[in-house]
Amino acid sequence: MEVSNRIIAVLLVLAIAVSAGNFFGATGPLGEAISGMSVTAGKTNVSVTSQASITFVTGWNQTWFGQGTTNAGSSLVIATNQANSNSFYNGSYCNNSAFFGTGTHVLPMCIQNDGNDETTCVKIQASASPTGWITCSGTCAQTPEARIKAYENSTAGLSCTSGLRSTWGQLNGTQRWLCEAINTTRVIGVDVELTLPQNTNSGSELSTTITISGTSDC
Amino acid sequence: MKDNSGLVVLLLVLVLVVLSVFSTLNTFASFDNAPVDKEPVNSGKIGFSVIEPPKPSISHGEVGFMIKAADEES
Repeated sequence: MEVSNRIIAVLLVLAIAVSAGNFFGATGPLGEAISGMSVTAGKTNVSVTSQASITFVTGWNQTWFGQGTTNAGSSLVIATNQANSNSFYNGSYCNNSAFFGTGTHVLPMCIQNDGNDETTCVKIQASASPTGWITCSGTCAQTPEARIKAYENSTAGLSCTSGLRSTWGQLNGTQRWLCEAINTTRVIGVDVELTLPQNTNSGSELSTTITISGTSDC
Repeated sequence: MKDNSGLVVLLLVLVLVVLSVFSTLNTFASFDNAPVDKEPVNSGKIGFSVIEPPKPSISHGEVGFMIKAADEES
């Protein structure tokens, strides 16, 4: 088979073009950095897209107070940041950093910034209002309530650099912010407080689903 | 013996072209298939259960007496 030098030349040019395209396409132009001399510095152009993302720390998204009795003649308040009465589980801090009382403990919620946005806004909401899931036998003798507040969970500096909701706020079907700017990889804890009427329904689990979301700004 | 150097060069160049093309495709594919972290967990649950308080234990007893009629004087 006769192969002319012209064909070989064309193919070689093609090979060189593809290789060059591969090289410059992957790393960007390096200019005079290509030489026989050793170089001590190089440059790589990287574009990082800001991504706001938060997540519950694994296992810290189930706030289960256990089984207990209500008060006779008055409402009962149970919370994740106190020792609870009437056989409900005692409270604890995020990541087992502290406990209230002894025995089995109810876990608060722990939220971590797992994105790369240093000012991620954390919001929370429930799937129902307190009256929608803390139900009573007949008309509730007292008003059911569900409240939340957030706290710092790091000893290595602030997790929430601004807008930490450190006082109780209502937890219902409306989205509510917990922290206006949480740093990446950092964690904030969320306390939950419930007010149970004296005639709260007994015998079955009463619960609500919580949803959190992270956005680049509030 | 026939000179096959042209054919050898042609084959080598073809291999080079194929390798370069696959290298290029692989480079771009790797960007699309960058490892993805685990999916964030964005939902949780709050719950409790109310139980009936234990009923007080009740046992029944009885206290009684009887007054006997006085004997008549004989």
